Amino acid sequence: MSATVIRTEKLHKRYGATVAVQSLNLCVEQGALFGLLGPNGAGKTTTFGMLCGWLSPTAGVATVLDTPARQNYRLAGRVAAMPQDAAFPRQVSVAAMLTHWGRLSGKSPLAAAKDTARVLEAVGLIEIANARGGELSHGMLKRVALAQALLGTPEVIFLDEPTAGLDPSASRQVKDLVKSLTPRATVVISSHNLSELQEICTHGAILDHGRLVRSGSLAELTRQSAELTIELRPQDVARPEPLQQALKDGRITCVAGQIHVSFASDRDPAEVIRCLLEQLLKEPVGILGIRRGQSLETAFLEATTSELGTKRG
Amino acid sequence: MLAHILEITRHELVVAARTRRAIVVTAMYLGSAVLGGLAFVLAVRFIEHEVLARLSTQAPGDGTTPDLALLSEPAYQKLAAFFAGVEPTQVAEAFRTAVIVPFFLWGSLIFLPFLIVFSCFDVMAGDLQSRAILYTTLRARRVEILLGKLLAQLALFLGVSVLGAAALTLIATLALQSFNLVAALPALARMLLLLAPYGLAYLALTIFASTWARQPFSALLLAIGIMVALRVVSWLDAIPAESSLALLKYAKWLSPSSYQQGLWLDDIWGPLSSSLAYTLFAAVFVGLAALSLKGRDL
Repeated sequence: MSATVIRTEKLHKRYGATVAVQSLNLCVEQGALFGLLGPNGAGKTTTFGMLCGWLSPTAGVATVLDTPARQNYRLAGRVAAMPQDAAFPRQVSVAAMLTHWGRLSGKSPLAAAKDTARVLEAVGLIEIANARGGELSHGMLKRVALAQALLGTPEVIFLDEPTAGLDPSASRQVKDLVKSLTPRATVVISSHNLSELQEICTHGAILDHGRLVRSGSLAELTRQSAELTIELRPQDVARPEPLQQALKDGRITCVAGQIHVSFASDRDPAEVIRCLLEQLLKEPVGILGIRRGQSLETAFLEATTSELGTKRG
Repeated sequence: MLAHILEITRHELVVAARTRRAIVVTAMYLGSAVLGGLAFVLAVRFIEHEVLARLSTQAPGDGTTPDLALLSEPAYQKLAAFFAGVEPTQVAEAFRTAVIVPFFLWGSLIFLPFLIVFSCFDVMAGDLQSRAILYTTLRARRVEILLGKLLAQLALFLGVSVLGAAALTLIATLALQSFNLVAALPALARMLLLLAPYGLAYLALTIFASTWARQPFSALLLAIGIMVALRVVSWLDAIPAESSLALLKYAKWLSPSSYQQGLWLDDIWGPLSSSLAYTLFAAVFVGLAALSLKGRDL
């Protein structure tokens, strides 16, 4: 079993009368690529800030590598973060700034300079090493901010909206880079981009109104072991009865162009797909594809909408 | 911890050297020191020439050259006493003999606090507002960031003071017959030593305002506000002894301005106690800044 590297216990943050995060219990295992999801005002940024040690919890505990998050400076070089809205200093060259941060992480001037070149190469910006912060575009600054989070060999990396404002090519490069960091490092990403999170994350947590609504592996969040969707030609509608008989336990919903299937999570999804396909091949419908689980967007909307419904109820 | 502080100091010095405002403020300070010094030196030279001319006319043909140093020394003593605001005999001997030094010390005591406030008000507030400080807090303690920036600014203003003193010394050497560079060196060293704790106190005050206010402009207003308030506190000394509020007179010791005169005095206790007081003020303001930064959400 993997060790827990990030843990929050009854984490609570209040701004005056507004409760931003309440009783948040979260565990992130070593090597996970963990997505922090939630609508605006869900408490993602506040949670992110508390995990990075930038915000003090009103109550509760947040630890990173068994160290209180507020004392993250004790883990210099082991914990890194890319804040979303922190300005990169304008007057200093990118290389000078990164070397400075490398030296603060305990590296010699020479080692820090080499590391700077390595991370700039990794984000594809080695050619602007001597440019000043004020001379860079938004996308470049974003990648420089990511580069500083890669300095050294951090064990835990926090990334806040790492691809926001990037063009598709740069976005792809960043996603590939982030994926390559695991399992050596544990990465926590806070983002609104659900398709991106679904693509790269292994685990996640959905926050809403400061509370944890759901958490677990991405397969659990999207119910990959208990749901599937069969895509048909748009005009085709399957008959549910024969499919229901083939499935035995479970629920079938047929709409134009799609069949939604829910089944007990202890059943083998491959066996479920085989039964349904055998039956469908006898039907006059055209099968275009099969998708296991919900999309993360559906899971997200389901989780946050039901939470809202519970509150209203 | 020390390595972090020194690295932050080194980096801040690099940043300051590339900041337009820091360069402009330094140039203005040096410019005003040179211009003011030049005016002062020319005035002194005019007086010296007048004295020499009168001596020559009063004692013509006796074959001796009038001794300008002997005649001008009491005048210089009075000048130094005027700048210090004390009796001529109370002024440190070093300041009584080197005519340019009292002028520079007097000017520095007046203008240095403003130089510091206007060049350092956003040292912390700028990083807090832009949130650039977030990058550093993962690698260094907040108090290390504070002390690193403080040391960098201290080094900067001491450097500017040394440059200003050097410029004035050069002017005095070139323009004044009576100026003796070797004799002035102890006075210059003493002056720079005294300016260090004095400047440190105002630097700490400015950095406290910069940490507490978060927005650079608010930090500037707060720093000026604290300086004015502390100046007003020093005026409490004017309360008559027979007044019912006479006890408030002692509150003047809560103001850095009240320790300014001690820096000029000839005995060891005056400059020492004033320097200690300024160091204490600096410690209090740095402590308050550290507490403010430690407890705040970034």
